[in-house]
Amino acid sequence: MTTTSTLDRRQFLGAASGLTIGLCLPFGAARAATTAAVNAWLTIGTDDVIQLAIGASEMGQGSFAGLAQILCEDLMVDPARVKLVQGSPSLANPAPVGSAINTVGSSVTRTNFWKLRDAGATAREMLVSAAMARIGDTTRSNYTVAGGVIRHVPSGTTLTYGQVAAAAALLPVPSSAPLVPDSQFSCIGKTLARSDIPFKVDGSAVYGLDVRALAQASTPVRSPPRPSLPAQVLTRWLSDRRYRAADGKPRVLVRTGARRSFEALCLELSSDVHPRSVLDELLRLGAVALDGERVRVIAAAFVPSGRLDEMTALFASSASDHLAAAVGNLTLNIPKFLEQSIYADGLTPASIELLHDAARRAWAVAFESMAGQARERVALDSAGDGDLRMRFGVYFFSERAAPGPTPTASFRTPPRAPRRRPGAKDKA
Amino acid sequence: MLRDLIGLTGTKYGCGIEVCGACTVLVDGQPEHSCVFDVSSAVGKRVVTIEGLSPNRSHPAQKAWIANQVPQCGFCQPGMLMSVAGAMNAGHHGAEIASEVKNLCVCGTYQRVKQAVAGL
Repeated sequence: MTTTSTLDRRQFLGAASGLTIGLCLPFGAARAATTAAVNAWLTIGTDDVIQLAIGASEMGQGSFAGLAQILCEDLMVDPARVKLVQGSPSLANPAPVGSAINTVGSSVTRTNFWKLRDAGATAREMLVSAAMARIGDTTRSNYTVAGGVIRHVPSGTTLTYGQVAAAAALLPVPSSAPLVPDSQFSCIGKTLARSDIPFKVDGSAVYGLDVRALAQASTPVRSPPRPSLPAQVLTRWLSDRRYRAADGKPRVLVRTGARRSFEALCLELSSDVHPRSVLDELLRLGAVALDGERVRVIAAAFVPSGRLDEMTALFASSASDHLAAAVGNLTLNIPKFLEQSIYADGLTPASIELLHDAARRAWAVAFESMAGQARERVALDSAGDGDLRMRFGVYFFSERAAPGPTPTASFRTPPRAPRRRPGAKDKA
Repeated sequence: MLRDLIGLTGTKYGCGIEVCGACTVLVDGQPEHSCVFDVSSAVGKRVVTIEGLSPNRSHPAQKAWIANQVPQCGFCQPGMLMSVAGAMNAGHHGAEIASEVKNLCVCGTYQRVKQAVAGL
């Protein structure tokens, strides 16, 4: 029997160090799970280091060893290889992290079992997909995974997770990855040695008492750059249940008010910028409309069609970067980001299908080139302290055009489009 | 002195009144509560802290602690191990050690401590 499950809240990041998956694990009160707060990060580094950073505490109950065991069942690696980091995730994010950091009544294990299993399975399948692209055989059944090594059975070629982590980070998150059947468990249910014990018998474990005042630390904490505030506001509006109606579409919000208003939404993310300024920017971009005192999202392309939160999260993260690039191009006095598209209308369904297929093939070519170069750069930069990230993507969209006076087919590129080969749509 | 000036933070500060045993170190092989042990009394003597018990967790007590997965939070364990090492230095074994070690453990690892020292 094949069991699958889906993470209902997940953000996906292509981190410079490899593949990183952000999870929302429902620590503490159940209501914490209703926000889109990311409070755990699974990172598979290009150096084959696997880290799970979790906003919970481990006081020696063995809960972290248990989490590693659960994760590793489906990630298919030795739990001893997983480095667990407690207290807070390693990457900063706009949402509060682990508002209640505790480990009580086995809750950490009970509430996170399926989330971690799915995270492990998802990461594994993304890594296998990257390996399939590298090896050039996309038949999944030709591959086996054991101990964090992917093996292409027909050729005997092997790749470690670390070798494909950077490429995997550029792949879409699969909607459901198969879990290891109960009958084949190799980690879950076993009594494994706790990883914290050795440090507790030689005095090297660090306790609060052993830490000097943080004020004495000479290096200030740096946060990675974030998307622009309008992009963050739109992202939360589209992805947060509180701001979405029952049909999944973003709610129409009153402009001001303490609760569920556009103003409240903005202030959740930042009190440094006046909500009116954010509104002006979104109005200028054509992303929202103001009807009297009510604000609504108008751009059809911004409204997710799928109901899955996972789709929404992926979409939101992608759209957020796209919007940030567009805003950057419009407002910042810096070299422009690549942001191009082509447009055609008067097309038949058959032509759309043909063009969609051509777009997929164009993506495959672009993916091969970009993933390879990104992998090289990640490897080259891994020794340094680079703190920049990038996203490169492709989109294809079609719909019935509004009835117009000219039913004849036409093709055009935007006025400011530079030289380009037909058939490629891209965004940066 | 050990923790703040020398920087050997493996030895823990617990009660400060010679009760809990978290601060236990060996002075010329004998367990002593470092929280009340004068520096002047240590002049010319060999002081061993948890960091110096072995270079690689190879002391028999450390091995037994790992094998029996003794620590929970682990705060009291450096002192616990130094008390056990002191008892072993005095030539004691198994249940004798268990009866000598008076260290307190708030997690309540006493059952595993007993199991671990049984084989020493």
